Amino acid sequence: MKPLPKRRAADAPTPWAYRVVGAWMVPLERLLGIDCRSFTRLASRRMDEPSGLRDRLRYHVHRLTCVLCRGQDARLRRLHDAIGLAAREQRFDADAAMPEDARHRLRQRVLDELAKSTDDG
Amino acid sequence: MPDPDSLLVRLAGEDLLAEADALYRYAMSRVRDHDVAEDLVQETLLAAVRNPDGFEGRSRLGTWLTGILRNKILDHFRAAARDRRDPLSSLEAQAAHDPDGEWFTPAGQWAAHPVVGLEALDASPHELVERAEVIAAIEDCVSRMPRGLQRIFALREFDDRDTDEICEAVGITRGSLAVLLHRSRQLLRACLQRHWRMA
Repeated sequence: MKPLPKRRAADAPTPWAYRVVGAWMVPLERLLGIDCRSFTRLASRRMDEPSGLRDRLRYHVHRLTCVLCRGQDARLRRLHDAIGLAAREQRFDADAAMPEDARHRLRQRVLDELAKSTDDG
Repeated sequence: MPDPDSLLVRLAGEDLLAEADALYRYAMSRVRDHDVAEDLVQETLLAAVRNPDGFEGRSRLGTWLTGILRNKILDHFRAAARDRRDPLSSLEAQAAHDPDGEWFTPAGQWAAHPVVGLEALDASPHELVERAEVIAAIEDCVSRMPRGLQRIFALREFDDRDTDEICEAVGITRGSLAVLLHRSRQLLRACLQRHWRMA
């Protein structure tokens, strides 16, 4: 059985990879003008239409550095896909029923129209 | 091509009410108004009766009727957007308001954790649609959105309509549509979060 990785001590130094990412990404984010607020707008827009090169860069840089935005974006995308699928399978308002009087009116109206079209034919 | 007369016979018989019920559910999930849904179903069935040749038999009768209903719904939204009393007519003005101030700090960071409580959404979309409580929560949260947002949300998310088509139908710019869709998605996220954290 593979041994579990050792838990890092609270006072352990920050891993070098984190320091490198932090040193480059934070200034890059500032340069690109992206924060959590503008990221969520951008991420929403990407669900509807393709984005340009600059916006793709802004999106991926922030997604790489912000765990909250990354988690939020992934869940909203799954939700977006699930809603589309549920709508195609007609899962929404599955219990909605046309009132009986409305069904009666509708049936009568359609039968009248059918009789009219038969007479015209 | 099927005989138009046989289509009319089907519509005159048991198929009529069965199809009407399915169309009604479809319309209700989009317009969320009993009277409007009833009118749209009636218009759809009358259009089918008046033009039975339109049914080419390449799909199920229900699929053909749903196609007609989709167009009727878009026509209804087009007309509503021109009516000053309807919430769709004020969407452009709504888009001008700050859409997400309550969720972010002035520095643009999250004011509260955006995903705590949303663990249910870690499942795949196929698994999510099988869970009745997820569908019920989405329905409930969509019904809590402002009326205008509900409608554009339904056009985009339920019907997968193209953004240009939605902009043309409700008379707003692409920028405003992006703001409103973003707002509706954040409202849905925040509502689901509240819903599942309390459960």
